[in-house]
Amino acid sequence: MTETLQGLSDGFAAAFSATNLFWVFFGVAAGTIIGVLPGLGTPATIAILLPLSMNLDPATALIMMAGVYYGSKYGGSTTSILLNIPGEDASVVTALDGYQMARQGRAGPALGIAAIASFIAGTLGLIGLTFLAPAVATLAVAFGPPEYTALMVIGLGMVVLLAGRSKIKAIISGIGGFLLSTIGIDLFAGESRFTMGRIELANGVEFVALCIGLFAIGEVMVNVEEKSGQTFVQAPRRLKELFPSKQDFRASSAAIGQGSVVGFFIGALPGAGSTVASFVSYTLAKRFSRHPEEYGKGAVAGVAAPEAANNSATAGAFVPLLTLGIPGSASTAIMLGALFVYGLQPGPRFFTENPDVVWPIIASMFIGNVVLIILNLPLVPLFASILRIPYHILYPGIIVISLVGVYSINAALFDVWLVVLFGLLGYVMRKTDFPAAPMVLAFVLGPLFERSLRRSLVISQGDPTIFFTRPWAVTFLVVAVLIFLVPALLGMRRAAKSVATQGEPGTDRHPELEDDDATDSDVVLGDKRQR
Amino acid sequence: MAHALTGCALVAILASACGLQTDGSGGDGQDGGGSPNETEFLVHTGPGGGSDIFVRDVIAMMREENIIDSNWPVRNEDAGEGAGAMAYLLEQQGSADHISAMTTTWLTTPLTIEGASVTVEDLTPVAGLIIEPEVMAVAPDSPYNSLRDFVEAAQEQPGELVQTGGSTTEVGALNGAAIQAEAGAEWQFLSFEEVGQRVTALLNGDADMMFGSAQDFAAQVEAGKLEIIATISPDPSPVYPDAPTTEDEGFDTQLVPQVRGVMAPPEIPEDALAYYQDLFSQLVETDSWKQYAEKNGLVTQLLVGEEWESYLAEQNQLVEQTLESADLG
Amino acid sequence: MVLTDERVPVKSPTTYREADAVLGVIVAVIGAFMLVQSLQMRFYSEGVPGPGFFPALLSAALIVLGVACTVTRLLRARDTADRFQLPSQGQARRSLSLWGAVLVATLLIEPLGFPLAMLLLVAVILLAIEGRRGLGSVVTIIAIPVLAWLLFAELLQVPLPAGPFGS
Repeated sequence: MTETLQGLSDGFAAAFSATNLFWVFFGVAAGTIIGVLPGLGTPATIAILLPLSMNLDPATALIMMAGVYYGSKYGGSTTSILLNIPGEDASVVTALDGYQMARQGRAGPALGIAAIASFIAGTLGLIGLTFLAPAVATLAVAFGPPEYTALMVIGLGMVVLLAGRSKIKAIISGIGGFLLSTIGIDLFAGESRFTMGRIELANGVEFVALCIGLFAIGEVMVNVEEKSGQTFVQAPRRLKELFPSKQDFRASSAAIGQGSVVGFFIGALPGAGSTVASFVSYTLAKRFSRHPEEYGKGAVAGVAAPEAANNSATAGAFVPLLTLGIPGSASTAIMLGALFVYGLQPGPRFFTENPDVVWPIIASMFIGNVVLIILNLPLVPLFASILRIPYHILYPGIIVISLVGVYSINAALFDVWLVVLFGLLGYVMRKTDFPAAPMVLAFVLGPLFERSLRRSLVISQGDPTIFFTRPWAVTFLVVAVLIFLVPALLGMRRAAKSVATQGEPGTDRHPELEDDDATDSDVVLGDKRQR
Repeated sequence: MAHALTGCALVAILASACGLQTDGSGGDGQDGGGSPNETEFLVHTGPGGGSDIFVRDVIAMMREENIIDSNWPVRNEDAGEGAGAMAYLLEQQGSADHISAMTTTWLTTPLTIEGASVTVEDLTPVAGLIIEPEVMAVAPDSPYNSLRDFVEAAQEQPGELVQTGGSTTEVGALNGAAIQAEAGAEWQFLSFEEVGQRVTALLNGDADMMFGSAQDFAAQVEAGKLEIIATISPDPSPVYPDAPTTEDEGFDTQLVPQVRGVMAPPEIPEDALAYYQDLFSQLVETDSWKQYAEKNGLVTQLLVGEEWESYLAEQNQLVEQTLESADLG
Repeated sequence: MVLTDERVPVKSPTTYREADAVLGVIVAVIGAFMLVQSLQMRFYSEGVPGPGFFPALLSAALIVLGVACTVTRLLRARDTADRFQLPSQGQARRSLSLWGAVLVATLLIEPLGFPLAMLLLVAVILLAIEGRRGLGSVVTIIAIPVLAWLLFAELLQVPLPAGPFGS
């Protein structure tokens, strides 16, 4: 313990050098700007800035990259909230409630809570990294395919939780997303599925293209139905409206706590990253909230939870990297590569053999976290005022940036076509009341589930009881039953009861409250209920 | 006002970054038609992948040894296990400014993936650089101390033991299939996309063994968490010279090596081709390279021009045969 | 029917139920199509689910759910109106012509290059769809593509198709 604290304080001492501080700032700034632009995700951003880091010494380079990592995550959330354009994978979930908050004139509080939740969770995640890394790493290694499968059962079951009125339609959406995710080369068999001979589909449907199409373009199409007035949302005027209120904080605290923990552990699992973490955290928050009907309509906790999760997942991803040399995500894989170029080899001995690299990195991540909030909170009013631009100017901009942004991911025109296609699909789905969130959720979790299931059966030679004989796997399955089946059964009982007591006011659930997705294009102005 | 300032500051910082990035954009080509201006080095993996890291290392070494004086940009085309990169290279027909790293995957992909129509024969071979012999890793408490042990155990329990690796057409899988065919043994193959996940499977016992590059296992072996018990090649591995080779163990089936080389677009100008071949020939003679190769268990095998071309043709045939016998082609 | 709000569609509530029923059938048909495709791949191979396993099961589920959707809608008599609103003609015209414009713009990206294609797109949107002439529109029409180009092609060095100007 004292060794850890000693290492940490040495790390801070090293990190506070002028050079390192400059590069942290730079990393966060660059990351934020690039993260704001849709298309380029965190791994690509780091890859772009990698050549710059070649002139620096290892610790500084990694410090810069850590800054970029944080910055781009935050930048991604900004466009998710303001424009319903997920800037990168993990910010998709933030868009669900964040954008609704923006439409209600609460862009400022949304951005603010995103920054604050990110900061708190990031810090907690780093504390976890500092003190719990070896223990968590041991746990992460114990996870094999059966455990992942069971975990994914929980994840996919959440499709139902994200449903609005029609559970059937939500599940159909989910299955659609799952099917979409099967497009591509099947790793196990070396066979292509549904690729129609196109190389661009060999790696599957580009996730960001799917999201931008469904969310951003679909949204614009819905809004365009009406010739718009000046601004499509009442931009906040008073300074007080620009920041989260006390009620917002109270509503989010549980979400932040839960998100930090969940995100950290999921981030530590190789193969599961911040996207999975943000989905899981969001759905847990909704499931255990006292007002689940608010999710999808601008619940502030619906922004806090995924933001917290995806930031502490960032810290979690460093656990296997620094303790075992196993990258926990695509971005950490790049950093691993960078370490190799420096001749360093992260592995089980990394902490003990290279403390002069490890501790400054961790210390800088703390600093980076702080810099993130210092740099970005003042920017919240600036960002929020983007919404003051008249919509008829804003939305062409959204469309153009979306198309260019998606192109920039793989330099593939094909992806742009995907956006066009999914845009139409998103519009049709909105109009016919098929929720989009389950589709995206299943698209992300589906492959993980499928692969883990097939791997489990390889290990057990086709024997399905493997899921019931491994302790963690069984635990997760039991949790899934508790989370999903129990309320479903209770719900059915309540429905049966209400049939019996039909007509009594107050016992029926008003259909409106179950409507989670904003399917109407009603513009909700300023004074939506403040809860 | 405050946020306007912060905004400006951000933009300024970023602009300076771009200035820093494009240092020496003039490249280092000679004058005269057809020589490279600003070379783009293509890889078929995403950032952080095996080839990506290799190429970045190579560029870094070339700069350090002053073989080149600018920073060549790396371009990732990771669609379809090489298919995307190969197609892209084909499109650059006639260009002097594009080269690509290639591995054995470039030989297997056209044979296994639908839609991958470009083959190495459509492109210009520049140079072969290394062979990366695979080694066999097991957990320390494993009952198998040699490849022989494992194979014999597999013969007794067909379909029960587990080898982990990447896709079913990657080099480790192919060699596993070849050995199974020769020995009449049978074991399962557990696919993971990332090396980290494969190593985890070894560590927690989900898999019994793995064929991989020395670099994949280095960190774990050093910490005593994994053991290398054989080299999957007739020649010993430079990093683990004591590990018995497949020949030592009595397996003479032809194995597919993991090869790394450089390819160029078709009809690349003569001087550009010569220029690149010269660069890489220089590179492998340098100290940095030698250290690098030794550390990572790579066997330098510089093949240029026709030698490289015929080597590739040989390997292509071998791969085809192996795929067929493993029923994957 | 409410008279003042243009956005309430003209059709009566019964049509909503039928709309859902039709949707269910469409979904089931898509599921059937996918099932046929999926069965062309190996369902099980070497004792383990093969590449066709999940697609086949998912497609089958799609058929089942599509049918269920149709059936439940038809069975629920006199329900409170399904509350989604199909767009009116005027609304659909706007949204679909926007989509059409985007489609055409995407077609033009390769031949004309990004900047020009996007310029045309914004022009069509502002002038035709939104009907706003004037200086502000002109500025926007030029500014947006230029900004996008600066951000992506210059700052981030993304190789965007530049069309006949090839830069």
